[in-house]
Amino acid sequence: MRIIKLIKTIIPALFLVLFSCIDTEKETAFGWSESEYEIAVPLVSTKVTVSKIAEVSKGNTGLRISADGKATVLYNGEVIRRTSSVIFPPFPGLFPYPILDTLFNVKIIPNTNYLLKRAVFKDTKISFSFENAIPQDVKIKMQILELTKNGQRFERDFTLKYNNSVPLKLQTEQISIDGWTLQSETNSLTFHYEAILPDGQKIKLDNAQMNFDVIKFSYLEGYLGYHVIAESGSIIDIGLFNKWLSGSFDFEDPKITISVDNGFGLPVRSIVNRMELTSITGNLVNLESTLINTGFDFAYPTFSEIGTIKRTFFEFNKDNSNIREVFNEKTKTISYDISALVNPERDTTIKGFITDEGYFLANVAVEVPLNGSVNQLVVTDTLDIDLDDFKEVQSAEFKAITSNDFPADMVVQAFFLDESGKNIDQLFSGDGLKLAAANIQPNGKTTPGAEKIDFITFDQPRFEKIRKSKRLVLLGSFNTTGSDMKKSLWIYDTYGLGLKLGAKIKYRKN
Amino acid sequence: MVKYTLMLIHMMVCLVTVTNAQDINLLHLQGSMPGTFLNPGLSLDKTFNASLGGFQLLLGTDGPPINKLTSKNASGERYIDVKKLSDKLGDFHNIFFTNNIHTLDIGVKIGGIVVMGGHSFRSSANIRYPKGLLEVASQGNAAFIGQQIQIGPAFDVLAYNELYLGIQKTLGNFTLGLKGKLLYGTASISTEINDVQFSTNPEFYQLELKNDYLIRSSALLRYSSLDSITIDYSGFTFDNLFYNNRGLAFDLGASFKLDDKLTLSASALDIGSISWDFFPRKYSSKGTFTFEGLDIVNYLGDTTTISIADTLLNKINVTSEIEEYSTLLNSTFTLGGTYHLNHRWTFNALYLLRNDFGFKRHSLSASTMLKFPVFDLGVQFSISKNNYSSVGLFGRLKLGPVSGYLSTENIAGIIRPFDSRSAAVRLGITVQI
Repeated sequence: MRIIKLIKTIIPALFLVLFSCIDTEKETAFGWSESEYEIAVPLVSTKVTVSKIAEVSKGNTGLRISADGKATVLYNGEVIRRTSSVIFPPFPGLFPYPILDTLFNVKIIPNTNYLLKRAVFKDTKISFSFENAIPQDVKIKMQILELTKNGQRFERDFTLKYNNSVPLKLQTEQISIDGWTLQSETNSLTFHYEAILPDGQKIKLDNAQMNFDVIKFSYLEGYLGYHVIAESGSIIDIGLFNKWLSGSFDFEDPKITISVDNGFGLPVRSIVNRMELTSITGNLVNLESTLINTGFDFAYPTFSEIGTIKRTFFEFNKDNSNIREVFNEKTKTISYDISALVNPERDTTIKGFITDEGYFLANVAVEVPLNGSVNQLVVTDTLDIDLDDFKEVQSAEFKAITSNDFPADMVVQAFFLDESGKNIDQLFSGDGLKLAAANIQPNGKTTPGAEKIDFITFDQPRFEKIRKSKRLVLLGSFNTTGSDMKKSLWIYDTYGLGLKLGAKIKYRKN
Repeated sequence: MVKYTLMLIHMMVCLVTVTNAQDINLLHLQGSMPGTFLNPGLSLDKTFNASLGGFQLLLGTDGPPINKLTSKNASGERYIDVKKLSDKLGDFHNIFFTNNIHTLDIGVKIGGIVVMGGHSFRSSANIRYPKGLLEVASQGNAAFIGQQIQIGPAFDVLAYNELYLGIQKTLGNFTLGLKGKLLYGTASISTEINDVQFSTNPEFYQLELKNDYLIRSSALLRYSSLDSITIDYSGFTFDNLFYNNRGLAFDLGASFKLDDKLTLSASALDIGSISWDFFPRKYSSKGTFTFEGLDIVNYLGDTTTISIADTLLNKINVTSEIEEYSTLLNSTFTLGGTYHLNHRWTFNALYLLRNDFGFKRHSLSASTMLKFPVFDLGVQFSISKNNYSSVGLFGRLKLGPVSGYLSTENIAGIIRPFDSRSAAVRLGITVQI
């Protein structure tokens, strides 16, 4: 018995020793060392070239590279698109047209603005209503004399049935006249009907009417009226100089371009009511050009070119306007008010056409060929920062390998500001990180920039200091070679800025 | 990276430490069914012999104990302590684990032979970790700029159900035993290649991984991406029994009685393989993957949040394929000797070679057992690689035909597992009529 008692005690005790003496969860909890970890990581490896920016640029701003590699900045304004409904909007059938006799002419479109010669209906349905007091069946044959399709005149038969009550009434079903052609000199339709009683006697109905839901055409020909298509208030935000602080620049040939695609077969003239440039200081300067005074006509397709789109392109440049002078005054935005006049001479003898698929598309843009000089230009930007997430970083050393292919000296600096805006430190010592201009070859292009290595060290006291910063003010200054002589240099697609940035970071988990 | 390193370390701590010398205790149990686990040629004493609920757990390492690698921070959490990493740390070390559950084993003497049969659930695992991985995880990579460091760990897991039939025949002083085994795999991870060379370029600290890594798994490992790997191990299970992941193996053993006092024995165990056909996956990563930082051009005009960690992981290419495979069992070879000094004192010696997932482990053990009328007590001493001071105990209580036994290898390992290289326990019940 003693042995059994002993066993009863020993075996559970052994299991306890085996499985219970260790708090497995506690013993296997893993955390961070109280010592420092030092990691070395690459942060950035990039060569931002002009051609790469051109590839990724999207939205209204872009870069165009010419065949010989020269770069042009493009700012596209709002694209204006108008369909043929701006010239002939769908004409709703609000009231029935009475047919007062067996041969009766109805004006369906007033002569005030349109003189239709030929029109092809689309999505239009008509119907008739008849009424008569004679208590007999009446057979009706209705014709529309100006309406034909495949050489056949429009003709329909109806029967006004006598059902022991008078007057006899008939409302016909809707009849599609899609594809039927109207040929008229008077914007009207002539209805001719025969109403015959069972004994063969022809009568005039007491009441006859024609209804339509909406008049729409797939093709219209004739004098289509005088119209003004106005576009105003659209603004092109240049953005290039938003961050300007000081200095000047001189671009050789900035341009404002207007391109128009026109599928309407009638004369359209552009009138520039206003073309205003606003500088970053808020000054408004009007663009001056003879083209603004006279306007310019758009090309349009002829009757043998129905379905084609004609393009008109013109530009305000340094030769026909004061664009260079006003643009180099650091233009921030360009606003415009342009009207397109359809049939500007109001000459009703001019026959034109529109189709339902025709459109008018205008695009206003700014082009800045990157050929010019930049003199001591300083730009700045301010970023909100919060370094609280880096509480456990003890110190860091950044290694920056930079290169510059542009024919411009560049200096980059950043200042850390605290909550009250007080400058508490700067990123680079002295004036900042200097990138010397690349050398210019006789062909005007630069040789690739040499790599330069800089170390930026944040020891523990410095890191403690900048941890309080809430804003980072970035400053960049640029000066192209020979800018004091206004020497113009082209920017080529191969130019770029190289940055390889790595960091050694000491980290201690608190 | 830190996450995986911590996971590895977590597994290390869970597994503690071990050798295989505990098997010498089975020599104390020769004559009963557990003795045939070590050598099917160790003859059974009685006409009817059974073993119920045999349980064996082995944990060990051929590297430093946990407390010689880690310290605890103020929160009581462990971390790999760079100050403790010794120069004596080898290029690679292993942490291994074995758990065998013998549900029922029966041996019956019929005529001149003994017929044996039984079932067990067997599982083992091994983690092979390189020194470089610990060094980088403990202090970061800055100290190794310009160096190439091996950081590729190897993970191996093998779990299966085993059904066997065997015979034992005594011819004069010789006893021969043979077991044929039918196997059904439940879980497997097999690392075939684990070469991962990590370097930090001095130019601006570009990171480079030269990978040649191939790991296979049946059901156990589920990979979605490098930051989404799950291991779903259910332990004892009858999954796939009779219809998936089939294998065959055999045990062969012999013993020779030199005289009444001295018996010599030899065995070859678990010679066979399993073919894995249930959800077999082959994950491989081969090539050189370099992370040079972010290319700002790709993010121009993009408001997407930039994560360096995500970008780094995206650089590493891992392919996943469905491919059946087979694995060898962890075979064991033994040479043993037993000397019965008198009716109370017995001395044993055992040399054991175990092939664990391709890594060979040798151990040499000696033990003595003192028999009392109702219980037996034994003490053992064993040595293996980097572990020269393992002392264990054995006890058996005999109540007529029923006996219960409990043995441990390395008592210190049981009491202070985080300071030891090994810890093990074996227990069970035998019935002999």
